[in-house]
Amino acid sequence: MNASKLTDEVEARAALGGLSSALRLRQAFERLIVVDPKGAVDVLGTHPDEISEAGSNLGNLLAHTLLERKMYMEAGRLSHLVRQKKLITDTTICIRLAKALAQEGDSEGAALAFETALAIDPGCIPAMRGLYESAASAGHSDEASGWLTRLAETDLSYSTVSYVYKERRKLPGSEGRAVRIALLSSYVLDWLIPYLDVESRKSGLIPEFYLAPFNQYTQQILNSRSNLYQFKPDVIFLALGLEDIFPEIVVSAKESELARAHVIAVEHVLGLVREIESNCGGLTVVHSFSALGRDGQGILENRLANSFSNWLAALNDELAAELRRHERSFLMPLDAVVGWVGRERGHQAKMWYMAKMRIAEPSLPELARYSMRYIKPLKGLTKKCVILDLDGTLWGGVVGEAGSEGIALGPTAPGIEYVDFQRALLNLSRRGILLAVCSKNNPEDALPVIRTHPHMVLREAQFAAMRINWRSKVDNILEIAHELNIGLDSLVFIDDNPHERELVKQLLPEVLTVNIPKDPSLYRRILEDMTDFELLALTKEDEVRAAQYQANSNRQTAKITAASLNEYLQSLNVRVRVDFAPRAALNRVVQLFNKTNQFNLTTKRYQTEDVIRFMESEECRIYDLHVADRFGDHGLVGIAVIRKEREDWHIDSLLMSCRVMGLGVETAFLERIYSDAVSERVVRLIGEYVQTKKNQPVKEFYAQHGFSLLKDENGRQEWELIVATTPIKKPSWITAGRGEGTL
Amino acid sequence: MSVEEVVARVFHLDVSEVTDQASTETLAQWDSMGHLSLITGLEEEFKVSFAIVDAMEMSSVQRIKRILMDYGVAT
Repeated sequence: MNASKLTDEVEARAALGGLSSALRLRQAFERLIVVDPKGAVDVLGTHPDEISEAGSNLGNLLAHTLLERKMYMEAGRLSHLVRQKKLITDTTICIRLAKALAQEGDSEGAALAFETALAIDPGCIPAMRGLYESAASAGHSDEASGWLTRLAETDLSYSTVSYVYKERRKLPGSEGRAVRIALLSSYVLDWLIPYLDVESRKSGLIPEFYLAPFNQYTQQILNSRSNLYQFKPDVIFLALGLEDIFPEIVVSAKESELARAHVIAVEHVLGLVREIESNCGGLTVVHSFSALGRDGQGILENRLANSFSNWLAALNDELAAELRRHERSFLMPLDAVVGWVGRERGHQAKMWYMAKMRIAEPSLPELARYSMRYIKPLKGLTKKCVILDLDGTLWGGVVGEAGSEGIALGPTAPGIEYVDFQRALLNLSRRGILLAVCSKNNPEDALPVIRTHPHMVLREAQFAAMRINWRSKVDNILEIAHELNIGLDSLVFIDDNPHERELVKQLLPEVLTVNIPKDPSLYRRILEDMTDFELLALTKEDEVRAAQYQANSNRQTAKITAASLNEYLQSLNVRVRVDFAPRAALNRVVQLFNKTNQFNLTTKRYQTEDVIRFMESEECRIYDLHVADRFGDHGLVGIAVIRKEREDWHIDSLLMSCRVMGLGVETAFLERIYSDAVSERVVRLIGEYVQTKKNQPVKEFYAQHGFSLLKDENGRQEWELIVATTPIKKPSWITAGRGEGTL
Repeated sequence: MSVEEVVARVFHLDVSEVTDQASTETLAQWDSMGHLSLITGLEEEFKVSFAIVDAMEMSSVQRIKRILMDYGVAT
């Protein structure tokens, strides 16, 4: 069949439509591509929709054929055609098309093909590079710079970042505050520079770098007329590897060598720091010493007083203590920075042996980001105020709909994520960063949560300004800035609603709007990853800027330092309160019945109507358990249901959240039931245990409390306790109370 | 991925630009730093760890393929 007949057939089939027609259309078009590619481009121009529906690969095939036959005019026309329609689906073909067109001088066609590739894959690196190159060669330096920024945001591999770094230097200088960064190292740290460049520019800084010649750091520091000092650095990073200073001790060390090395290392570093301080006014940041391998003495490492890791910790501690007395010199916790990435990936033996590259490629982005924590406050880029939304940001859910009781905010998930986020914000408040609220709510819904919700960490005292109304957030933010007398460029805006974020980004670009993800368990991490809240020193004013608040310290730390379990438990100041469960606790009680698995004696999954029955019935009684300790209030964490039968009380259900297991509070709970039984002249307590896959931890519960086994059949046990003869006593470290407000 | 594809990915080239003859001499991006990135890329792709003597020898696509064969990787 000749070309014109094929064209006719394609057009006829396109006009006809339908499935069988689409198959014929595809076949005819495929043949047309072979016989007459130019004609195929014409037909594609008149029937783009039909042809793209007939076969997703047809555009790819046509592009490929045109390039094979070097028909660049037609390729250029195709490039224009494919832009809107999804006629090409393969980025490789797009890139090839674009590069061929660029080579032929059709820069417009090339740009269109690159854009098509980006539309197919927004992370397509070659397309961004292509668009950068065409913008740069056309002299559009702002656009070119934008493409470089996007490249570095998309891919943090060294090859991309170093490309961006090199190209950036070819563009005319952009506006911004300069920062002069010097790197002094005993090993190869050249790789860090492109990453520092990217990070600096993200904050609007234009960096200049000085890299000391390999292993020349001592000479550069000691010579007061060295290139280092002529460079007039704002900040000097001093990165020394123990492997370079003490090669004999890092893998296998003798006690006597370690003692000597400690003195030498401290003297060496402090000597260098003093020398730098007397020769220039910049900030000195010393990387802490770190190890590349595992502990040489295995599990004995921390049992041997003179082990290498103990020595290393003591060395860093002493350096930190010494540098604390130097206002402008800091110790950067290198192991924590690399450890965040993972030590296995962060240090790579081959790169170290082969290239003296002690810090491997995967660590470089994090190391550069961390370095910005020193540079930003130095350059006055520390943010002064965080403006926060409420619903979905400081707590889960919508308080106007769910009410104060219904929002997710408390010691269990969902809710704990928001509590931790608030705690991380509290840390900022303690170092003088102001917090403010900007939220679309009825104040009468939101204010009671801030004032009285038991798990709200941030109260009115922590908020320097509050805007709870239905006005535009942009207006409210402007007002807050005015009220606090803070520039817009010192504000951070955090809101879970992408529409509000977009609006603020568009209208107030100076404000740093944080892209928080949908998942609130990432909120804390996102906030702590930010490098915008650093202070070089904490002044009295910073500390008192926001209201004082004694927050919960870390439970884990307390656990390790307590000399014995008993001492630990005594130190916890555990308080319990047992009450008859009130109607107000209904939701929490039903929730506990349905999600408690481990500490649950019978695992009966009661629903709302059952619980209401227990609350109202004379035959039943439902107790709830509240627990608090010095770390905070854990809230309602336990439930017991008693069924009264003549002179006996049957413990129908007994369950407790596993968060408070191990404190002995269950015994205090049982003691209360026991003492009620005594005063109501009950003869026996009958306990029931129904075995499940998950409630092994409480298998011995009744035995441990002096009950004796009555029956044991098919995993269901019945235990009895004679009230008159077997008392139940709570542990000495627990204080018990009853009635509201006793915790 | 083929060796050519790894080289193309690391140096941001089109695969068609990476021939058997491509080497530290012919590709501007293949400098000493780029070489380390390439080694890392090859090790990740082919699940091997090159001895340093070999890593230093791998100055062209052809040589990379030959050395990979020594490590039991068919390319």
